[in-house]
Amino acid sequence: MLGRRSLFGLSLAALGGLPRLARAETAAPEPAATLAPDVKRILDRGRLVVAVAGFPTPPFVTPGPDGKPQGTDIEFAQAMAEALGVGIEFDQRARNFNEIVEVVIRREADLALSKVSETLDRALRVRFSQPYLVLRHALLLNRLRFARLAKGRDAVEVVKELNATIAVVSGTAYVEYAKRFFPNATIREYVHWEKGAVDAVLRGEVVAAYRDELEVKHVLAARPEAPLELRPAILTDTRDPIGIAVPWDSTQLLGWIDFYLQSTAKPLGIDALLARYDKSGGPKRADD
Amino acid sequence: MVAGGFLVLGLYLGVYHKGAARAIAPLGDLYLDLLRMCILPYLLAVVTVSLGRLLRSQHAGGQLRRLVIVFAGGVLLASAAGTAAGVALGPGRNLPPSALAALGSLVKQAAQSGELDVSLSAPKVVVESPPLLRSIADTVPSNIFRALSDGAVIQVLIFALIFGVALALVPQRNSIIMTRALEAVYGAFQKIINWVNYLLPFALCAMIADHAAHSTGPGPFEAMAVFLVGFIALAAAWLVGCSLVVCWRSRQPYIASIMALKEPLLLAVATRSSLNCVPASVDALHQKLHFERKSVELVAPLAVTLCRYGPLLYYSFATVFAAQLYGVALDAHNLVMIVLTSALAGIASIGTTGVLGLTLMALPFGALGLPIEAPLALFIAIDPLLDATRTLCIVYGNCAATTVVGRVAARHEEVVDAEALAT
Repeated sequence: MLGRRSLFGLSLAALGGLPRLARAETAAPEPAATLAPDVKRILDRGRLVVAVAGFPTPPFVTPGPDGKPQGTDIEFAQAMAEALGVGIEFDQRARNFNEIVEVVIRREADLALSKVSETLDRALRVRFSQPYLVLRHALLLNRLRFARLAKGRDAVEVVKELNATIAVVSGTAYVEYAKRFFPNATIREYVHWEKGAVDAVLRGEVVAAYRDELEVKHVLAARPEAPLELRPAILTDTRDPIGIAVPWDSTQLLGWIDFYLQSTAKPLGIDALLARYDKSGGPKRADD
Repeated sequence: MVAGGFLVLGLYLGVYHKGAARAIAPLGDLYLDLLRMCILPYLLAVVTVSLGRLLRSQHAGGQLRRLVIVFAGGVLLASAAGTAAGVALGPGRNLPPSALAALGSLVKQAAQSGELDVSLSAPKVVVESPPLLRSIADTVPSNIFRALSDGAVIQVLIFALIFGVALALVPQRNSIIMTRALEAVYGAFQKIINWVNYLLPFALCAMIADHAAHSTGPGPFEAMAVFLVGFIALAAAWLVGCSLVVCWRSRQPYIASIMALKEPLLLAVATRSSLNCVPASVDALHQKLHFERKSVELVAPLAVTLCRYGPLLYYSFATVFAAQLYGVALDAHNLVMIVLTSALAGIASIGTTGVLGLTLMALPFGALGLPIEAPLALFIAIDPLLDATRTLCIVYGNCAATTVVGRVAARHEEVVDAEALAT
């Protein structure tokens, strides 16, 4: 049976709790308790860490004059950081596109925003936002070698069953795409696009170079003699979705990013990107 | 002289007064329409009648043999000349990077440079190209009246040849009325064409003004300068050769033999259609250079349609240019292929003018495994200038061929002709 003392103690404790309860209802909830851990991490740090390419991939990411990166994706990331109300820091250690995704997987960055293609393989290990740009795949065909291959047959059919050598850039999604879409072709990987794959197709070492339509169209615009030697083929029913990658459990951040993409001004379309690319195409074709 | 003055006026208007040039352009169209109205009936009548006359004359076998030899020889000569000129002049050989860049930007600007849109998942589209036999069979008209109303020149010609031969074999007492009727048709259209030609100076002015007003500026021509100069040199050599042949066969002084043909030559440049120049060629060869009527009337229309010297020179020259551009070796085998396939393409170019004829280059290009889309864009860009040159080569070559097959009429033959017509 409860003694009077313990009853008194209990009621004191209960009474003592009331003001605390009342305080909890009227005071503003502390942000820390109700934020998802992925967003909390960024806000606490006061900086958004973005993994970008450590190599030039114009017009998305290019090295700036003082070592700071520039480009359409950099500007995009800066706008997002502003919307979040934090500063920004770029992680530029990646040497190819696969490595950019690796940086996010190792949680050394909050997100990757650097012309990263959404592929099945990558989607197993990171989460992708809605694509902010969808490119189509394209081929650059060596006109002479293609004419020899086609021997008068319909060009479209010859491309579909391409029984020839294709150049792709290692570490890009196009290695996987080439194996999937051109099973009859022999695939040769090159480290660089312009100085590797494109030069190979210009010299006739391979019949075709395979990448997205932006890169293909840029080659034809940037090199004046290219249209004479190279023929573009756009694969109209293919998709190369470019999206933002976050770690698999950054669900809150992903939701915010998707909402941000929907509600703010759309990122640049293909023609605007091409114009930007052609303008920026000058001096820094160093190592791509 | 008058025509020359109008030509210069036309050039001036086209370059400096584009509005005025556009305003008078319908005059040129009117002239062309009137001419075209007459051409097919004229062609039908002239070929039928003259074939009949030829077959009934004593020299039929010899003349026909000469015709075939001159035609075949002329075609191969033109094709070989174009190939040889291409190899000698090397328009596509060792071009400097700046020239290649200029060509590249020309291809880039072209509306169609062969950019492919490939749908990987679309079902296979089977394109059946008609077998050679079918294409040959298609030249025989299934309905001559439809062929006439469609303006299908080669079909009308085939019909005229068959009908002409048949008519010649019908006993004269039955066929004479048909022959007379066709001669009347021919004579009537000849008269109409003579009337229409009163419009010629004004039409010339209007047509030249229109062409000049529509010129796209010097860009494409600069890029293709080497090719242009090479081909124009080749064409000039061809024209000089033709003029020498005409001079030799007509036994007239050189300048006089050239001036005699000035009307068909002017028409060739202005109208860019070799068919339209046939009546003028027949007239000039017969009246001014005194060639026998019956051979001129038969050979000239046939030569124009079968011996397309201009396209022959062009196709072979252009193929050599492209082979040099893409670094394809021109060994003996390839050169022979160029000559033969260009000849075939040239014959197939009947009835096509301008850009349409250029697509026939797929034949020699395909034989050598050369890509056609990019070079085609280059050729299309400079075609306005070369179209007139090619027509000129056809017409002058045609006149030359006619003089080789035909004979200068001695005075008494003319009298016999007139008597035959009178009865």
